[in-house]
Amino acid sequence: MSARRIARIVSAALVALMAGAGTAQAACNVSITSISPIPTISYDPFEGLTKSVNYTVDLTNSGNDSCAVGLAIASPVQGVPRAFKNGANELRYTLEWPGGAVFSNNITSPIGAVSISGGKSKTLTFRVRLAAGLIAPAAVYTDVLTFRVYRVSPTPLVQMGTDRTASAAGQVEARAQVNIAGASGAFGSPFALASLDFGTLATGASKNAIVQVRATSPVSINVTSANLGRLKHSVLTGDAGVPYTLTIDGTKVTLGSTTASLLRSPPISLDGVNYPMSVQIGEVKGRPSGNYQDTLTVNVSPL
Amino acid sequence: MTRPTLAIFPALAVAALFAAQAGADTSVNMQVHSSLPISCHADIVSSQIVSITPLEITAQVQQSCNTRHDLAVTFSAASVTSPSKLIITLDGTLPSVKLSSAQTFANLAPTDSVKPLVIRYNAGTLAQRQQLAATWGLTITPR
Repeated sequence: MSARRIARIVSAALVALMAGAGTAQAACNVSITSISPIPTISYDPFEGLTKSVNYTVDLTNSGNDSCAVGLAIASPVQGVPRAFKNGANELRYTLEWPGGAVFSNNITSPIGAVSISGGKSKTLTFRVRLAAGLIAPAAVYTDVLTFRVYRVSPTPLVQMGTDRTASAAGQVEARAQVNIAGASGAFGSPFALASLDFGTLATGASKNAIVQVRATSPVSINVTSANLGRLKHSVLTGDAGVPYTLTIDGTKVTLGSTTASLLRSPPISLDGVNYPMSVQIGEVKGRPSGNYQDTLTVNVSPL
Repeated sequence: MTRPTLAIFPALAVAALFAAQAGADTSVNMQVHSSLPISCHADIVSSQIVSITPLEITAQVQQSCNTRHDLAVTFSAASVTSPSKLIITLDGTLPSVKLSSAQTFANLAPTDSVKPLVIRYNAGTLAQRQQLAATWGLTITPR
């Protein structure tokens, strides 16, 4: 082979290489340029509402060719339902594509197909969603998400750019609720007990009810009596009234002066716990005839 | 009668209450109420005839009444021919109503007490005074 022929071959090869290089710059080349901070979801388990927050991911195609890309988002432990964590406790959640498609917790399983023209950027809005009906102790729960872009069209599936991470969190609010249940109920709330009727007063008579408590933390059960632990005559307001005693969950609650408090740690559940309540009438002798009453206010505060 | 509230309570219904009740809150009021019916009675705890001429009877009477009431000292009208001569006091107080067969201490406050009652009658025949001493009684009437 002559030197001239060799020079022609080398020249052609260089031209081909240069042409090849030009083709590479024109190809689709999408990367994640930014992820907006993901707002912490505030969640009240007892509202019975689904809560969600949105965040955005910016994608830029630095190449010249358009292509369609999908996204995969994974938590540190993949292949399991996605959950915010706080120690051993967790709060399950989902990540959703616009339109509702749910990201599986797997960095190799992208979903979606967003077309991005060469040299263009696109902002995608995603959603973090906590479904109604979850319960967990009051705390902040966190997760770290890894984002990866895949070219999904043209095929084959190709990972693009470098992985990015972002933090997400859900906060279970400190909440407590109380209900008094018994055998008779007010309209519209079966078993709810608005009153405890002793009928005819008799010394030593007692009635039972249930104080239902559910909470996301230990609670203080605070009880106050409008008449400081006495059933007062409805007309003869100056009468001393009839004393009674109140017991909740086996503990005598003193109603004689200020608010009485019990500390309890109900199980963290939507059903809560039932604490037995008992009211026992004291000495009736010598009290004038008529109607007697008192109003108990039971309040629960998360600690 | 105390109803066995807990015993008849369907446990599942209790457990499901929170789910069904949107009104559960951090605070709930419960009214405890009852009533005390009217109850009155009067008894002669003791009675002594101090003298028969003139007639003087001292007695202790128990009133147990949980509402305002009238206490009447009753007697046979035939035994008291001169009502103005019949003097009755309850704990030193004169009656407010005088009738031919009763003298009434009206509108008394609720009480559960024993009080002295004195009956004096300086008229009539011995037989009439003896009849009065033997037949007087008490009637208590709630208002």
